[in-house]
Amino acid sequence: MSFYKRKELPIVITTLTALLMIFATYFKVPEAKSASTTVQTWMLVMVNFAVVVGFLMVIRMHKKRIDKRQPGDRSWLFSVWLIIVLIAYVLLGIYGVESTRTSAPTNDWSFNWVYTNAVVALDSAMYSLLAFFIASASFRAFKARTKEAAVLLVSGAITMLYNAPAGSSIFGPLAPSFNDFGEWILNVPNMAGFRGILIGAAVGAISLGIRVLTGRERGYLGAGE
Amino acid sequence: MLETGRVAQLFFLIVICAAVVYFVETARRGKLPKLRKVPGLDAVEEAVGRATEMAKPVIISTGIGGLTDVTAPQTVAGLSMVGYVARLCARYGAELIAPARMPYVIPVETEIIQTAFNEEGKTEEAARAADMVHYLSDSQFGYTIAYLGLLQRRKPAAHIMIGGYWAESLQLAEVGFNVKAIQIAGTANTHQIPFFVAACDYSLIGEEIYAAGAYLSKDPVQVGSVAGQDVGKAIALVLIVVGILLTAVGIPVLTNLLRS
Repeated sequence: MSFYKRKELPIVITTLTALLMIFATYFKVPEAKSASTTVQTWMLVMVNFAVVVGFLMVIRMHKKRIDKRQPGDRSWLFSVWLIIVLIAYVLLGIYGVESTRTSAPTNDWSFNWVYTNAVVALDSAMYSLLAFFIASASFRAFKARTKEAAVLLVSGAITMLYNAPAGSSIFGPLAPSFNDFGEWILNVPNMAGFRGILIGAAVGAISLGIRVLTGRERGYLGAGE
Repeated sequence: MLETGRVAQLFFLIVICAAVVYFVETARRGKLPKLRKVPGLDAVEEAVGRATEMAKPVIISTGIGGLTDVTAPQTVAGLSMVGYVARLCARYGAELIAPARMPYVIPVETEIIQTAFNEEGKTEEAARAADMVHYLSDSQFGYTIAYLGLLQRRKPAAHIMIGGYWAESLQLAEVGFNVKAIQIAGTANTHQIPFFVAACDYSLIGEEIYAAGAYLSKDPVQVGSVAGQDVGKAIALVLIVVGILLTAVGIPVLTNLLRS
């Protein structure tokens, strides 16, 4: 097998890069900091080149869908539309950079108009849909089938009422005490659980890092069991 | 020489590293630590088997995090799972779909899938690994809507999500539930864990996703490294208890030490 295709090379690169980053984080050595900044700049350049890979992959995937279209199925038209929009937006971006002589295409009004009125609006619409998904998931999760689920139901209901204006109206004069209780659930038991998970996850990430550094964890390289 | 405010961090990093190395060496000498059962990881094979029987695809994603920032460990954990699931799909003949958000993750995932299929002797399918990775969009909600469309159109029998997920976590899990897929999901993003617990059949909580590679590979050395984590957690626990007591009596020694 050629040297560049062997698993050892990526492991050596990963280990050396990680050691450099760790050293530059903890030690005041200007040479190490400068080397770390250079490596991070290389990384940014490489990551941006990968966007071209993504662009070509989308075109290839949707071209395949158009080629394999079936009679009666019109979903391939979405693929045609996607390719048209993708290419048009790339061209608009190039035009935006060239016309304004800046590095950001958003400085051009036409690119910015599409971005604000289509991309941002669609993003916001998708995000707001989350409310309905939360409602349907809560409906299933908040069923007191077990003791644990009952605790979840009660604490969830209290937290919801504490956050909603309706909570204060329902509890009338008891509202301040109820709100204090809601705040306590959020800040004490809830926060304690969150921090426990966070500490475990941080230590787990360090352990994974050590396995990657020493070449024991090779799953990300596609190596065998 | 040392950066101010990072001395304690470096000290604990070295201690945890030493603990992990110690347990790895102990495991290498044959003294294997016992890992508790993680039902979510045990269920992966069952989920792929179900997909094979139903002749439906398996969809696996590594989240919307990348490989160049603090979310990288979660993505690496997800990629390890992609390798394991790809091997199972190759073994059983199930269709695999891996939606990706970050363009630079595409070649990594393709390589992982290709290797897995090759190792299982499925060279023809391995040559088509690039078709199994679907690049959707770099935009968070562009990715989400394309992913939801994929779930609705392909109706997978198994839906596995391991990695860094944010606001899209519940949307993906809910649509996965609606298409009746068996769902296994895990993330270390604490605010998204409740969503996975509510909507998925099995969920991996926090550190469990990092242990997945070791747990599934059964490699003694990797299993040993997972045991080393417990030392880190024990240190954290002791520091919390001692810190509370000292702060309560007005002695800020530990707080100052940790800030050094």
